[in-house]
Amino acid sequence: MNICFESHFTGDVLERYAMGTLSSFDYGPLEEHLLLCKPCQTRLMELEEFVLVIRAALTQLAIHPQPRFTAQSAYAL
Amino acid sequence: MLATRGTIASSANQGANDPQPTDPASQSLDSLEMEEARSPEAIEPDPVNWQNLVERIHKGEESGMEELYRLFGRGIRYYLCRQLGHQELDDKVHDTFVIVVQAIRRGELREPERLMGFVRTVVRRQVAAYIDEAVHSRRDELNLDLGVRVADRRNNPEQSAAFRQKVDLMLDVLNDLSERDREILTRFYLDEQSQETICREMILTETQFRLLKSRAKARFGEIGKRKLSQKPLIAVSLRTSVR
Repeated sequence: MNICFESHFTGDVLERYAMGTLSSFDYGPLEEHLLLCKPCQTRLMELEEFVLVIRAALTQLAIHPQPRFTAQSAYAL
Repeated sequence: MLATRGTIASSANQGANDPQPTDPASQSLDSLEMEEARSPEAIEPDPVNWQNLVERIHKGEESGMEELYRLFGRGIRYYLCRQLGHQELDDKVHDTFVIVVQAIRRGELREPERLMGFVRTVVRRQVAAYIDEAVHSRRDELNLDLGVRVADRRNNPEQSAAFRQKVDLMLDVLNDLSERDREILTRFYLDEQSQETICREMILTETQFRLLKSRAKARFGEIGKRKLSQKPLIAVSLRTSVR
């Protein structure tokens, strides 16, 4: 037996939940919804993966910025 | 934005501004049968009679417990896995169900329509108890800091390699962006600045901000699919790594 919901939480809310940045938010309805709603579980998994990956990549870029090939750099060569 | 509870029937109605889903290969919780969630039956209307369900569990009827498991099994597994990782996951799911069923049999759930909230409370308590136990045992054994994260989803070398590949794909995506766009994403995902702050300080509209995020996700998914189709062996490795 599955449950169907007339509406789901938006990707924006799920993304902030994945990031842990939902401030002053009542987590109750969202987490209850997630206990039963497979599409939202799936969506949250995808968003969590994306957040983990982009954070790792951005951190790497911040530590080791990759130089862009510009006219100036070409001239320098 | 708000979810409805319980016995409501209609088709899925995602938020209009939802970003596009990312690469399907980016699944990390494989045992949750991701494809099942995309199947049409996942959104078919099928109301649950909470009163009847709780009564059947209360009476000890097998069918009630089976239905409880069918309804909440995946969600509980997902929640526990998200918070605690894969280790002994089946046992933890089982323990949680035992607690829920025993509590219902003792008549502790007075309002059957609050079953979802009740299950959530039990699961949260379980998570807190496991974390507490893990922190204490680690502190006793290794004198580790309290800040040690309990769950580690990339718990084998294959998964770490798959993750590394995805980070490399993301670096490709980010390097194709302008410095300004990268700064926007850095502010949001890394510095955790609010959308309002970013839009105000970088003179962006909300739509421009959402578009940038959506495009980054779509591009990541697109490059991921393309690269994986070019490298079948790596794709196989990625798929097996999440099993």
